[in-house]
Amino acid sequence: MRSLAFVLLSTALLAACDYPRDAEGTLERVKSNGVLHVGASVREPWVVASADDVSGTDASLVEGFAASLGANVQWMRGSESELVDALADRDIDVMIGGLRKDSPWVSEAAATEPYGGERVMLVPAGENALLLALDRFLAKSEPAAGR
Amino acid sequence: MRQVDRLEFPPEQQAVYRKARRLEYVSVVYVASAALFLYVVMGSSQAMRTSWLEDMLSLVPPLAFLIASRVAFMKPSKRFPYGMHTAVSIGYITASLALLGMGAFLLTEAVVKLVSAERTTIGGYTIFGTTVWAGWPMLAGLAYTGIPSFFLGRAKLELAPVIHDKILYADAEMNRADWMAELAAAAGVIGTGLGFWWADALAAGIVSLDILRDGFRNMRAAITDLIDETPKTTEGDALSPLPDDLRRYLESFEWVEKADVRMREEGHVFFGEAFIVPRDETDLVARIEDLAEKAKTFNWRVHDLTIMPVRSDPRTPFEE
Repeated sequence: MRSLAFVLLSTALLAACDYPRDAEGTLERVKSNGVLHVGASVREPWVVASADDVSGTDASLVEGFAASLGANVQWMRGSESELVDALADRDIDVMIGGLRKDSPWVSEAAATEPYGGERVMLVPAGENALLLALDRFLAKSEPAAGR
Repeated sequence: MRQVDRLEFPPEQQAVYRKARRLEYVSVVYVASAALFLYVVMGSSQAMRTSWLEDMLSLVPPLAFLIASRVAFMKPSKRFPYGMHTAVSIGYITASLALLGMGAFLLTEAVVKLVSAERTTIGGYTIFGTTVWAGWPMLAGLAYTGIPSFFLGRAKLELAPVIHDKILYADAEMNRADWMAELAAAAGVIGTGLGFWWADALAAGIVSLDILRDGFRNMRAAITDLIDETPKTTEGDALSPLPDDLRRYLESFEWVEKADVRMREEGHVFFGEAFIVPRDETDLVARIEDLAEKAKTFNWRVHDLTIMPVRSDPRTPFEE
């Protein structure tokens, strides 16, 4: 019973402080550096690639997210498998590509809540604060679609 | 073929038994509702699938109790002249197996997660238009499942020795396993939020070792029970004093020179044989019948005693 009381008390305390945190402080880094590294895998209409730019539904969403953090987006293009590796290596902070929530890559990283029906974005595994911030942004931006 | 008596609990035991049945019905409903709640909160995530299996395992002991104890009360018949008491032992081994399975499953899960260095991440959960950290509803769900388990288990632990019901005891142990696993999961969620992605697997691993040990202990007791070990207490930690007490009771009769008792457990009650050396052979049959009846009133748990008169024989000395 005492351990339960301890758990409840610490939970209350944590709710007040900087919680939840990232295992490797990604969100803090993005905010202080002002750069959000985004990996984009082409899949229309979510990710549309042209010679010098990335656009599409996912792209606009993620640009909005970066702006909300006071950051600019730095794009990295590649295939889904390349980008998942980049996520694991922490070379990118967010991966977009119109991924479906049952995509096999989801288990290699951390997925957002589904938006636009069943699409997800990925962040590196263990980055809870970043994921929460992205989930919040997506929920606010897509009131009609999503849940 | 002569049949044994039908099992009947004395009033105190009857009341406790009814209370136990109510607790077990509550347990079944409660586990089902907890499973539903977790499904709503966690959806079809990996964590949900494992919780589902844990919930299913937790259902086994209450169901084993409800079914086996009904069967144990069935009237002995031509086909089953000894009655159905051993149904309780079967229920006990089933419940113990579920407990063992729970421990093994949790341990395997924890080890696999740690070895694959799979990082648990908990993000947002949107409900009623707001997005909160998913850890909060998870903790709420764990509290909903964990806290009642604690109290249910404690209540069952008190009742089990009164009716000497081992299934009830195993179920109390399962409740304990439940709330410990949930506490570990809660520690895991909190630890993950702090950035310690390994917290979940570590906590689950530690707790699973305790559950596994519990499972082994109960399995061993269930198996030895089925091979007619000398009766023990409900918790299985000490020999039951009843056989010895019975022996001394038999010897208190002045026509009995010496007595020896051999007993085994059949569910809630004891079956056994008594070997007595009478001082003389007057009215022997009547006296033996009378003694057998009196032995059953000595303690409600002495359900069937076959008394055998023997000559004193130096080759087979009686126990002192």
